[in-house]
Amino acid sequence: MEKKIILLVEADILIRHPLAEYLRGCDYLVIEAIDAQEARLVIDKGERSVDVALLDISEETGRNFALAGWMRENRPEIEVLRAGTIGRAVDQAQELCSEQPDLQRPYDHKLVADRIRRLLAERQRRTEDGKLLRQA
Amino acid sequence: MGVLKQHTILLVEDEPLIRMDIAFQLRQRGFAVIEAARATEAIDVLATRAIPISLVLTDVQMPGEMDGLDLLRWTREHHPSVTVSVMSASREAVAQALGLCAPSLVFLKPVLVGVMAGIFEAVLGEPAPDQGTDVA
Repeated sequence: MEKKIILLVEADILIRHPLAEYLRGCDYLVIEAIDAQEARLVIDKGERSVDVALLDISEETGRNFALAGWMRENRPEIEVLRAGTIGRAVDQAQELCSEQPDLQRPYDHKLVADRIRRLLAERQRRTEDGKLLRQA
Repeated sequence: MGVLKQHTILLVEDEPLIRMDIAFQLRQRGFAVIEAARATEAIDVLATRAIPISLVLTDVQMPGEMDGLDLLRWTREHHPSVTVSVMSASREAVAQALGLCAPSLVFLKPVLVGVMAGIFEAVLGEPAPDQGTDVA
């Protein structure tokens, strides 16, 4: 049986990668896109059809939000899931994983959220340390 | 029974369909793959140090402030233990890359991913206990 395909649209790699890995662990084939433009290319020109799109709709340009609307109108066969926060994105991922029958999930989805937040906090700290060094 | 490890490749490629295809094939060969679309994303991952990277495989010409050769130089300076590899459709870029990484790790596009994976396996060998990503 062919794996279901999830298109994950998230600009921040420190969020995108842990989410993608979690979903791969749940036996999905995950395609990663950094923005709506990449996502459209995948949808229009990819060899296989996308089953589910999980989009970050908090991104500032609004293009992901517009993409979600475009998909609903033009590609109704794609299940569109929108997430505005890390917590919501992880919850959506966990719900997708719960749909996979007889699968032992690789790890608790709460660990995914924790991991993402730790990575982001570490980057923030590095950025602040960098600013302090430049001021010194 | 010991924990299985796998090498993690940080793949940096701005063309999403190419990135998807290479990532998929490398995963099929048993590598863990982190997908980055820009050099700055790759630096974000490398700088966290939370994700052990065995090899950086990068395209050369990419949008943004840094190209793949800049990324190579940065990686060699800040993460000298990480193996670097380059792919490009430009013969000129390939020639420049030869000064920055081992000739066997410089690839002219379109790449034969199976051949590339075999070279990576030979160069990287088995992950050491403190390297790589846990598989099980």
